[in-house]
Amino acid sequence: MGRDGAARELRDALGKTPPKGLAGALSEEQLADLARAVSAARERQSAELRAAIDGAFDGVPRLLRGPLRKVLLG
Amino acid sequence: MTPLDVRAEVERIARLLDIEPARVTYLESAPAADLRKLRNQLSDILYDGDSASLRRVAAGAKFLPAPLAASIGQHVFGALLCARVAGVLEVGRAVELAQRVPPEFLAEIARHMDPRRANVVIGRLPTDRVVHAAAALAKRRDFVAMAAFVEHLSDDAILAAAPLLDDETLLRIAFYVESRKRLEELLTLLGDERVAGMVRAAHEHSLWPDALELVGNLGPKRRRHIAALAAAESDEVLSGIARAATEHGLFERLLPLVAAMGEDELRRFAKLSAVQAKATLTGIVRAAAAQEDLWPALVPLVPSLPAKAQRHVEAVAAEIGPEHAARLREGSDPLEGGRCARGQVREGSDPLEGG
Repeated sequence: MGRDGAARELRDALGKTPPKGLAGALSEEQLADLARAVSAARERQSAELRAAIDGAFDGVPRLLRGPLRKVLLG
Repeated sequence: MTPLDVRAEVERIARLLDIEPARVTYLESAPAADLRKLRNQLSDILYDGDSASLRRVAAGAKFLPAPLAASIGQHVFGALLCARVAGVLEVGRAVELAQRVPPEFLAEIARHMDPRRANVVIGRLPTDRVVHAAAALAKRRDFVAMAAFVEHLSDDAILAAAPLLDDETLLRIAFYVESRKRLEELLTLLGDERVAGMVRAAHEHSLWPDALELVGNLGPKRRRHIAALAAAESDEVLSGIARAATEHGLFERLLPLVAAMGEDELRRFAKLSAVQAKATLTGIVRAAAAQEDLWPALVPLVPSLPAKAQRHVEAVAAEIGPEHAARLREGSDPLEGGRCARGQVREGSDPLEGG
């Protein structure tokens, strides 16, 4: 992948250009590992949030779940 | 040893990523300022991503009476969803709801909440809520979160919460307080008795490496005060400081504390066998020679040492260079070219500012 590729992967995961000093201090493997950790955290957080929302809808009568989900979550 | 501010940033980042700090120790090679920027970028990406959906949930919650909304939050939504919704609620409403949930649940919400937002909400909570939430966070040993709150809590809330926290907890919180100004205010608020307790906790829990750096980051006046408090502790505690500096090679952190000691305190410190140990004296002299603004801390220590230890100091100084041995004999500051009495410190290179 190369150093530039790892830096790009981190930038994609962060949605922003990482701080200059960080890119300079980390090796290619470390940049790639950090990018993976950020992506995993984003996925985990989204999954946990989805599960929490689904859990919340479990308490709503089945017929109302669809419309309510649409109103609240779009 | 990696500076405390860098390690603190790595821990904050690991906390945001929900991973063990050991997984990202390589971040310690980056400057603290860049790690701080990275942390802010992570907060943006992790907490601002789902805000549209959460805002709709928050808008719905607005129409419910606070007790009902808090009850639904606790029993139906759970801590994670509550935390994320609280992140987009109007602060006043978030505070209103936070007052109606049990402290343990509030602490759990605080763990999941966007730290930038949690601080504002926690800062506006009534003191009794803060006290209970602080106790719950202390049980979880979530020092990073507690330190972030310290920056936003009122002095009254800190004074009310402090008695519930032991000295070790207070010290560990202090390690993570970002603002030096707020840290100094915290130490003033806690008072001498608690700060002395934190000194003992540093000894009892082998926290001197970080505690020495913490003291090194304080202003000269506060550092002198802590040096006096440390010097008033038992020989065992004082010896622990010297031993920790030797074991971890932290002489450049020890010397500013030594420089902050008064004459009586310095005499007592010099009498300790842990200080007179050859490895300790060698490390002290080498650190003072390597970082010249630390030299004035060494000069007044030498006359307080017994003759044998003085000879060792002179031998180490001579080994480094004859000019250092000569300066030591003259009791002079090498940059000043004259005798360096305690308290007479060159402007701009106060040894108390070094470390």
